[in-house]
Amino acid sequence: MDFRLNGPLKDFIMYRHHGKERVPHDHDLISVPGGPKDLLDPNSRLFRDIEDISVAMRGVTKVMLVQHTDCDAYGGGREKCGRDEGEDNLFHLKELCKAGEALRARNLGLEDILHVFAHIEDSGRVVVMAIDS
Amino acid sequence: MDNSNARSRWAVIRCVDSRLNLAIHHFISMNLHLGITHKYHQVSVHGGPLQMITNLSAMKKLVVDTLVISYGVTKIMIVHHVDCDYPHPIRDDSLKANTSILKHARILLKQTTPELEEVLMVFAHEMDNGEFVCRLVDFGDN
Repeated sequence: MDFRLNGPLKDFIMYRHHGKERVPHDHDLISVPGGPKDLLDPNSRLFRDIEDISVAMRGVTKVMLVQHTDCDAYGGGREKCGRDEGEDNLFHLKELCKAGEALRARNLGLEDILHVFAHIEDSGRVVVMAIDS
Repeated sequence: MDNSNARSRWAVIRCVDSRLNLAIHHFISMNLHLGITHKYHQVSVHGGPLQMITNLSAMKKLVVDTLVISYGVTKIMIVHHVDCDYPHPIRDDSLKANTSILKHARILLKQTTPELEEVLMVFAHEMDNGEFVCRLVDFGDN
């Protein structure tokens, strides 16, 4: 839910092609503190929301997970997740992959789970990229 | 690291509905005089303010513990939209019913979080072409 992602993610969705197809602009948006972080808890509300609402009620078949660096939801931003920008990056990349695996293991019948990583540089620039899972 | 860029005082609380994506973006672009810019934390949960009304403890955790204490948010814009499929006893798309939902959410938020400096309430209604348009609901006490 970090405000620094608003513009870069919008540009990423609008201008970048992801493999076979683009992410449509009219996508449902779930935005909570920590984002995919809650998927590491099998009893989390986020899992229930995806399962009961997004998939069952709203017919979602494809999910894009977005993880970003310097995330306050981990208890203190960059300093909490590594000694420097590089360690923070590695930590959040691993978190993103673990969240994707957890969602896939749920067997919700999703056609695709796209992993997207947003690197917030020390300079403030945000680099958004799709990650092969 | 200079972390001063990592703070925004504004948060927008909205529903997950895709029709709100562009509507909120346009609303903010056209209403910069309200003080909100595109630098806002975005909380998007099914039902948005309807979930706030029906699940007060979750709302307290989200708004007070996370937005206000952890993220330093002092100003919130709440968006409610017509034709919301969140399970709620009020299944009435009239302006009066939807305004009452916003009013209820606003009262709860102000009671729960008196430290908030500003709470903007926005209603998204549907145009003939199916697109949503947001408009500010003025309760006259902001």
